[in-house]
Amino acid sequence: MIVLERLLSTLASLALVAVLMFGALEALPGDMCTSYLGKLATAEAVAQCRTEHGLDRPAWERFGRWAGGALTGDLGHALKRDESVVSIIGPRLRNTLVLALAAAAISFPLALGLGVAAGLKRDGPIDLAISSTALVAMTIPDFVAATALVLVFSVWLGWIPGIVTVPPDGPILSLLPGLVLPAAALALILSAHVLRMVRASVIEVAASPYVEAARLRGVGPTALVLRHILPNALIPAIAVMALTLAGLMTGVVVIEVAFNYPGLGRLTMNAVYDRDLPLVLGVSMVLAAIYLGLGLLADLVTLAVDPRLRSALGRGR
Amino acid sequence: MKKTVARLCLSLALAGASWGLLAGAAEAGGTLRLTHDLGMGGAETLDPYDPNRFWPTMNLVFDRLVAPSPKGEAVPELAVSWSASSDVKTWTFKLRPGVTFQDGTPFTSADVVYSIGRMTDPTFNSPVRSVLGIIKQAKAIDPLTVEFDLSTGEADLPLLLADYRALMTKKGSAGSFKDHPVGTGPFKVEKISVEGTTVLDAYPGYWRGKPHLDKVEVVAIADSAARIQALLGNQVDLLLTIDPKQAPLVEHNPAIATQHVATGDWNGLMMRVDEKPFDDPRVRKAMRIAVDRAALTTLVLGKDGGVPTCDDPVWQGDQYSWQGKCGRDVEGAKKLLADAGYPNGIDVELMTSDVEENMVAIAEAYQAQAKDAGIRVKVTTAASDGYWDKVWMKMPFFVDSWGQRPATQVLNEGWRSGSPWNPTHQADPAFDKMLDEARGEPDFAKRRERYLAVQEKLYEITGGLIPYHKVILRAMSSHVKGLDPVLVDCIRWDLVSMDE
Repeated sequence: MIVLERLLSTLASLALVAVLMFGALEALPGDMCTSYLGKLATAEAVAQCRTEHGLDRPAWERFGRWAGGALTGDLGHALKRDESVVSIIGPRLRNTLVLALAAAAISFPLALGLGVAAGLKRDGPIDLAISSTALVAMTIPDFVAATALVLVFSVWLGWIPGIVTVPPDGPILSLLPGLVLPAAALALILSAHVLRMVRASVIEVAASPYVEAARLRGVGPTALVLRHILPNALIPAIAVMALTLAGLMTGVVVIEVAFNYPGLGRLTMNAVYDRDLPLVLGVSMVLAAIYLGLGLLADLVTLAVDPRLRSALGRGR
Repeated sequence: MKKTVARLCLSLALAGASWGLLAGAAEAGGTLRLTHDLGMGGAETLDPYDPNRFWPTMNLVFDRLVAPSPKGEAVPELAVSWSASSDVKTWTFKLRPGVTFQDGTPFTSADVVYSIGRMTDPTFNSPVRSVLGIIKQAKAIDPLTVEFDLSTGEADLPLLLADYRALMTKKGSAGSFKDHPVGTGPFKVEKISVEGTTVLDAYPGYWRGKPHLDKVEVVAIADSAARIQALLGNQVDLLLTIDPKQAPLVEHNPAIATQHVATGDWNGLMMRVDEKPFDDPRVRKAMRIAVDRAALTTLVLGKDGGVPTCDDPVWQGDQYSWQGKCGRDVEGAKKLLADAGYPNGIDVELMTSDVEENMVAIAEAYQAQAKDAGIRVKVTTAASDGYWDKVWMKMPFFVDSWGQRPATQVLNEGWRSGSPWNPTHQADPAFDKMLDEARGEPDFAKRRERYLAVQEKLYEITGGLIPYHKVILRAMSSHVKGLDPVLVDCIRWDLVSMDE
């Protein structure tokens, strides 16, 4: 029941995003034809271009046609790039997923380990070192982190390529050397957030009465951490991780542009710049779907692992 | 200390890289990697007449009948000689014998007729049509002779044919540009990957002889900071232009060489001569002489970033350049304003946008300078989106930006009555007549005199304040040799090489 409700509200949010995005793009001055034909466009050329791309039709009609297609998985045809939106997004979505997963693979174990360590040794020198490093990492803007990484590893040391020169539909293996720096830059920021969440959660759980009770029962320190503290501390961390992952998927624009990475972030930039309405809409919908989908997943997982929540909600009904 | 460490690291990296090159390709030649900015968002095509042409590859793959020399003259390329009728309305071009396309077929007059036909086809909407639309008909007289009939006398047709887009393509090749474009140029297309790396191979049968390089790779990098990273990290060898603000990143680096290239690109503040208060020539002149052009140029473009000019759209490198002198005259400006009925100064609104580099900076620099002459400028920054559509040529006073064009082209496109791209809406029959006479004069020396007179007249009447022509900055690995500091379309790519 509750699952169905969450699913419906997710779909409603998606529809809202579509309407808002369309309206926002509609409200911008100029359109794809003026931006495409540029400065020296004659009035006739602009008019011809508008007719050709159906931009002379009223906004509601164009939205209706687009939404109808979107429901069947057809996101329309990009205006500037002569290709269907789905086939443009496909390989780039794959690349961004690879980047996000690489970043998550580096950062989640790191953040969990360090977060638990910091939480258990609260206010000690270890905690101080970890927490202050995390604080610094969180405050560094991503483009600064990206630039610093490139300067050290690409320009000074010459170890790793600083930018990716692979086309979006290139084989995944060819992406790997260029994946290292963007994944590291993302992981740096991502780890800090998750780490702080885990630390806070560990501290809270460690101070709770049932941990105290377990300790009094004579449970050893290792078992105490593994069996009692970790499982409970992880529940809020799961939600945070899913949401950071969603944020990561949607917030990769800066990193992808900085490293010339052929993913959705760079595509978003270019599509907005080109005023390619179907493409901007398509990308936004995919990103919104991922964001909302991961949020939904986080809720469901939390629900599944935390019996208290389930019964509390059950009783409420 | 820090610098030494950085340099040491860099030289280690370079040593590693060059060792790799030695091991990979022992024989001379090598690969040059340059960048393109993906400015057409992945819609780039190798069709030279398409608005979305893939510009950095164009002069590698294709040639023109006539090339521009760095001095602005027309020099033979695929055509060896030309002559005109006395009214300069009929032109005969002799083609170079023995030229072949990269698929081995000979280049003949039929290819010229086909190419010109596509360039001037009204249904195709090629941007180059605005330049070569005066060609009514191209006729093949024999395999190596072509005749052009013009709708109006044009003594500088060879210069117009030297336009960077007037490239020669193979007869019937319209559908081939996506997959296997064929030109007569020094490099042939091996692999097109607009959003990745496009690979070009040397064409051994090139009519000027085999190119020095084996390969050229064109890497797509949309972001300008990422392009610099790629150059510094030795992932590419050549950035054809960089933002002058990025100069400090590359200037004192021993692994990077820079070049300054003077161009005819300009920014200007355009006053519409058909709108108040700029319909009064005294106001226009006052607005223009209130400016210290040298100071403004440095302020907007940085040191060595531009060459000051006297509102002249014809640049200093053009063979018809006037090179007038124009000092700042604040008192004179005040007096002109008083004569025009503004004894207490004047209030104007200047529209600008960050649609292109420097356009906001020039407005603000002008605002600061003009104030001394009692010209109070309100700078309004419009959205870059739709600027060319809604502000440009529509508002009374706005910031403009043009690329380099030969004298005949820029004067006829921008300052002739009724031209579609006439930013100040200038409509002066006497000026048009002078322009016609200059254009139709077959004798070079006399024509030059006439063009100088045209520009002098323009300085008196114009509503366009053009304070400078830009100097672009180019950055490359110090391994790149044989690249002259000239505009992209003048580069002799067959002479470029990479030393080890």
